[in-house]
Amino acid sequence: MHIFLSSLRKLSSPPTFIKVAARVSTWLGYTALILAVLGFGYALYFAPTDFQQGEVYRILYVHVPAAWMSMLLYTLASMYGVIHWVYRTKVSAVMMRAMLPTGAWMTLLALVTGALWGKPTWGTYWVWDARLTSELLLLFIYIGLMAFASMVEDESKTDRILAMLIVVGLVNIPLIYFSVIFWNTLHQGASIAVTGSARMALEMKLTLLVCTLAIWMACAALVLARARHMLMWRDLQSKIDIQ
Amino acid sequence: MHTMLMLSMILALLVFLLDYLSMRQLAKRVLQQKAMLEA
Repeated sequence: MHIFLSSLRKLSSPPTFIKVAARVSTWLGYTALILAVLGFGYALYFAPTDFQQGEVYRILYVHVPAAWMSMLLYTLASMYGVIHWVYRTKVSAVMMRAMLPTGAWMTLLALVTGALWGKPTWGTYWVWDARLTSELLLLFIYIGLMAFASMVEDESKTDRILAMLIVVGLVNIPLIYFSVIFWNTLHQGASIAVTGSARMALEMKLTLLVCTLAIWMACAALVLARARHMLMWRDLQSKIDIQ
Repeated sequence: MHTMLMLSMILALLVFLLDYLSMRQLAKRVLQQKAMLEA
C-alpha cells in the first residue's frame, strides 16, 4: 500500500508524468494494435454465428467495448475531477480534460454501431428507449463539457468548475448502466454479468474480451498522450507568462 | 452479415484516427510553442 501511494505521489509530479506517459502510451498503442488484429480477425473469420441473431450479432465486438469505454472514461474523468477538487494537481486536471474527447468519440461509436445493429434486428435505426436516450444524453454531456473546457484560453482557470460539472454529470452513468433493469427497454440486458446471468458462448466471450482490451488500450494510449501534451502546453504557457 | 462488422470496424478505425489526429495537432502546437520560446 505504501509503495502504491508513493508511486502515485511520484506520478502526480508533472516531469515524472510526462516521462512515464510517453513510454506507457507507446507501449499501450502497440499492444492495442496487436490485440485488435487478433481479436477482430477472430471475430470476423472464426467466432461462431449466433443461433438467434445470425451474423449481425458480430457488431457487438465493436459496440459493447465502445459503450463500456464511453461509461468508463466518464467515470474515470469524474474520479480525476474529485482528485483535482481536493488536491488541485496539474496532472489530475489534464487527465480529466484528456478523457473528454476520447469518451465522446466512444459514445458516438457506440450509438452509430447500435443503430447499425438496430435496423436489421429491431427494424429501425433509433427508438427513444431508456438505454439509447441516456447514452445520447452522455454524448451531449461530453460535448457540453468539451465546449466549456475550451471556452477560456487559459484553461487552468476553469479546471475547478469543470471538475465540478463532470462530477455532477456522473449521475447519468448508473442511469445508462441500470436502464435495462429499471425500465422496460427494447435494448437487451447485459452482455456479460458477474452473476453469470448473461449467457454467452465461451468463444464469443473470449473474443469480446480481447476486442475490449484492444479498444481499452487504444483509448488509454490516446488519453495519456493527450494529457502529456496538455501538461507540456501548460508548462510552456507558464514559462511565457514569466517572461 | 459480416459486412456489418466490417463497417463497424471501419467506423472504429476512423474514430481512433480522428482522435489521434486531434492529439497530434496539440503535439504540433506544443512543438511550435517550444521552438518559439527557444528562438
